[in-house]
Amino acid sequence: MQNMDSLEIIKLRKQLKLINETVSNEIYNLGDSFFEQIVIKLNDALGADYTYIGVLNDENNEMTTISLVNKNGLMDNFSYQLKDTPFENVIGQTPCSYSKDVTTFFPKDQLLVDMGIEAYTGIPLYNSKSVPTAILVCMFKKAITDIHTFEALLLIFASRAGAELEHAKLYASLEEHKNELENKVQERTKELNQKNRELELSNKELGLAVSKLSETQNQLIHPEKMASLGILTAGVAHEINNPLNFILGGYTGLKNYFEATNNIASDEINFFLNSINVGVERASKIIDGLNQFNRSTDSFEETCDLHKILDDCLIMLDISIKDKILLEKRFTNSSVCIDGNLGKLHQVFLNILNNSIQAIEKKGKILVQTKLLDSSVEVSITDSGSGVSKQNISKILNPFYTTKQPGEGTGLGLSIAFSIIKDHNGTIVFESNEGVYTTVIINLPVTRNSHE
Amino acid sequence: MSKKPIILYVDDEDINQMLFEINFKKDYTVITAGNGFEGLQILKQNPAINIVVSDMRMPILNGIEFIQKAKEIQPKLPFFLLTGFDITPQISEALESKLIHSHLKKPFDIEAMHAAFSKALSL
Repeated sequence: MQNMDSLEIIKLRKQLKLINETVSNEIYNLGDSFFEQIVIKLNDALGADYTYIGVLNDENNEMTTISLVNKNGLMDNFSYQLKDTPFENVIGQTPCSYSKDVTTFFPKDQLLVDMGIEAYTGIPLYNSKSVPTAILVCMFKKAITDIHTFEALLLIFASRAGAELEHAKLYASLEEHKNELENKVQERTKELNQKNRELELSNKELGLAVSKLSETQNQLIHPEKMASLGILTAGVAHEINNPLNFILGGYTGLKNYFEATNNIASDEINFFLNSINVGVERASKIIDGLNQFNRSTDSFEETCDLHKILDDCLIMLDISIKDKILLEKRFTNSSVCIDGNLGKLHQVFLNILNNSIQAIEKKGKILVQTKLLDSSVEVSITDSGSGVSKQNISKILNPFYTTKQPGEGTGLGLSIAFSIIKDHNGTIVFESNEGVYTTVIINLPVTRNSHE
Repeated sequence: MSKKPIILYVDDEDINQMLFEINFKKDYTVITAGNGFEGLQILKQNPAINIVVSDMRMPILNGIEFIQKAKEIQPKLPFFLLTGFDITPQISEALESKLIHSHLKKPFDIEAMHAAFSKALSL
């Protein structure tokens, strides 16, 4: 009798300890560890052969263990069809216990047979919505007399285990959602970055387009200005002719008067008369030169006197040259005639001479030479200006290439000059030493030339 | 006593008319007109005119237009056009079609003009 009591006491002590532990904070654990702890302790406390917690699938016809122990410790989990097993009765219903011969009640349950199970106790576990989600089972290889005591013990754990199960489920769901969110955020961020990059690119392109537009605008204004200038100078030229005529006429009259009256005019009077004459001559030359640029004919069959063209251009540019540049002319003795377009040839040389002048910052020299070759004339214009670098020298004939500020020129001058020279079957080359000099050599075919 | 050849000078500027007369009165008889219509009138009334000189820029009828009409009255006379320095396409066409004998520059180159007139008269 005493032996039985001590055994009982030991057993009860164990069970009490188990109960204490379950409700204490020590086992307050999230995740699988809780379930493993519980089944381990339960198995031990109840002296069971197998203890496990099994989770139902959605159709409630299959159970998968999430923690399973035997007397030796944790075992691999397994899945099991519920049909014809004691679990079928447990799910969503009341606890179910069999103190012995459980296999006779469930002959089709192969698992019970294979494992040699005699006694069985199982309780359903619910979630917070009172939906059956799992079961907690202890299986014994021997008959258990106080199986209902065991059942009661299991019930203590039911709500806690159920809650933990739900907790674990919810936590997993949270993790899943968290990951999903993170992925979505990453994706969106990627998309936004991409859009950002695209916008930046468009912006850049837009910026380029805008600056190109304003550049073109400036360039368009220039020809407009040139066109109005042409009209203006044509008008001026016309209007000035008459007053010049008056002056010349007056001069002629006075000269004749002095000659007719045999009055030998004093030196001073002669000088006065001469001044008037020279003035008219110079003014006429300037007007003449100006008109050369306004010629509207497209004919390439005009007879062009090269030296006169060069002189016209030099007169036009005289103002820029006067005090800062020393001009040297080395023209060949013969006169040089070219068949072409007078106005356009004026444009060519005016442009090149103008470039030479502008290349010279403070003071310098310009040398204009003409040399007759077999069937062509070589015109070379050398200036002592800033020159062109080696990498730019191949670009200077390109349209819009310019070293000037925007608005100060189109960069078209040389490219237009080049095309005019081509139209005259000529050639143009550049030689330069940066900071020292630049020479432009133009070769044009001559048609008639008179050698003296 | 050879009579001096008669030149009709058409120019809307009075001073130019005076200058022309002064410069050529020694060798020619100069009759002046202030515009194209006046010139045409004078030409009709004066069949003895030998040479016609006209300025280009004039009101209503420009030089070429005047000469075109004048040619209908006196097709055989030499017509000279006074031009500035630019030969417009209209002028080069008139030269090519022999509407005008030749063009003279303004301001006057007296010597050149004398030479041109002599040449025209000797033809």
